[in-house]
Amino acid sequence: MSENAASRKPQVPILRCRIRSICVICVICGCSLLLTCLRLDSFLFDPIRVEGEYFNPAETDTSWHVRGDVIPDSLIEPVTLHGLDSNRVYGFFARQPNGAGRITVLYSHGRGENINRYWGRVELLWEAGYGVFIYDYEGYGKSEGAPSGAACYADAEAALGYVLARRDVVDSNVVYYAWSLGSFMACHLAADNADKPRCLILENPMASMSALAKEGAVLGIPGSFLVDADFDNEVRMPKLGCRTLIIYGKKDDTAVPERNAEVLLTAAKDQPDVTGYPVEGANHSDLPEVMGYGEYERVVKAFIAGDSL
Amino acid sequence: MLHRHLIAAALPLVVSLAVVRCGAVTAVTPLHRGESSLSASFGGPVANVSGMNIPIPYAVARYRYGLSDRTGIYAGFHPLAAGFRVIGLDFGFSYHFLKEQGWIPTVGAITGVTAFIQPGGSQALFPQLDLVASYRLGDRFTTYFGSQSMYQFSTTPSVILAPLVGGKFKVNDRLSLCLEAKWYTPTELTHPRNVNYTLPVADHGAVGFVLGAEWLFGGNHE
Repeated sequence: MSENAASRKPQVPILRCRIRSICVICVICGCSLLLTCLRLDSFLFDPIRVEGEYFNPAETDTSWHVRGDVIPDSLIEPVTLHGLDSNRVYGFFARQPNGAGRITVLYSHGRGENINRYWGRVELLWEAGYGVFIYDYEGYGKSEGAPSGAACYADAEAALGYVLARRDVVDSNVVYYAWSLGSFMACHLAADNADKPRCLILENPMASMSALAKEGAVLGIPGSFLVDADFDNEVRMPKLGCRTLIIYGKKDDTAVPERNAEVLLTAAKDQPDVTGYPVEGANHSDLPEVMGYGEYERVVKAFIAGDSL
Repeated sequence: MLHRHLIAAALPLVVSLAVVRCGAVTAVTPLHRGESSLSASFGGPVANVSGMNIPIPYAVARYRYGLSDRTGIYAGFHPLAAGFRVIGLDFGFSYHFLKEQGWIPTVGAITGVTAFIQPGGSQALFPQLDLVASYRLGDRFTTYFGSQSMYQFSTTPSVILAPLVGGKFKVNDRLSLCLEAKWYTPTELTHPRNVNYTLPVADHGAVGFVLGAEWLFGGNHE
């Protein structure tokens, strides 16, 4: 074999290798393109549709202590609003008898199910003497459309618009109250609007999508990597511009306090109007039960009234 | 609790975007000068996904090139990140400062950066430093151990460690397979978290497994 022939021989395998390499890279890139619809948004929401009417006892989550007979039917007003893309959004206004001018709570509920589940909370707040408006995000209950960050924000804005437009509501007496995922909607209303509420109460709030990712993987990555929804209460904390109560369970294993409520309190450390209220032994969903309804009502009423807790 | 179960089912896959140290060790042994390799690795910490305990399926594809018999460069691509419309890349270089001699193992350091870039959006950069020591056991098998570390400055913990042990099996002159066991983030508590990692050690971190394949070409390998 001549020297030239010997030097030429490896070139064909090398060429084949490079073609194979290019093929492998193409396959990897192709697989990646097939995956280009992965987003966390759909996992943020867990709605249950209501096909018939709200408050069907068979569809009510009894673990949330809905009593059903606390608020007279005559004081419950069904409301239809228009959310994103004019989708119909359903809600209920539980008014106080002769309640003109009294405090009204705008309640933004959590990730799961629909108004049926949270009605027990409406009952508690109503019993405390407040008018309460609760609404279902798009895709929840009877509300049309599908849930998304933009839709939830539009629904919250429509809900606020409705409350403020009522003749028996005084603008300065509106309180935003939110549980868990609803905290994104309440913080959006408070931070991103010029009109400020009387106060804001966040029960077991979530901090941000970035915090959610960090809780799972330790690494700090922007929430926008995972979701399209602009759900970031950490950023909004310094911009709330109103008295805020963050009430949270110390044993919350869903929105773990040190990665959510306490993160928000840290983000608001320069805001004297933001108060933390930890509840020993309470988990994500049982805070009023662990506190005792009487104590829960006392704390909420004291904060709304501007008294010390 | 439905809420929690759904999160537990969905998040391991989603959050795996952030488990960037899931890939196998970039360079257990050095390449020869001018030699190249393509590798793919697959796996991560074991978590409960929809009722099954499986390694989070994080994939990394890498190219590396031997600048000398001790020094190499590499670049990696993270396909799952692309699934989130995020460009996930890593790149850096390796240097093997000890060659196996008696009881002294081959020891190398791999340093680089993992970058996640969202077109028109946010970016995240994480410097990393890996140290790995290896012993050849016969013609075909290499065992190795070491630790990977990743650094973040915007939040805590600042250092994310992953001690590891692994084995590399040479199928033929070009192809080798590896299996790596890692203890991810041993400094952090495992519970409570929104991902149910099922192999903690004393409730710290999560043990996981990564399977890899490396294919050599070019250089003086013939």
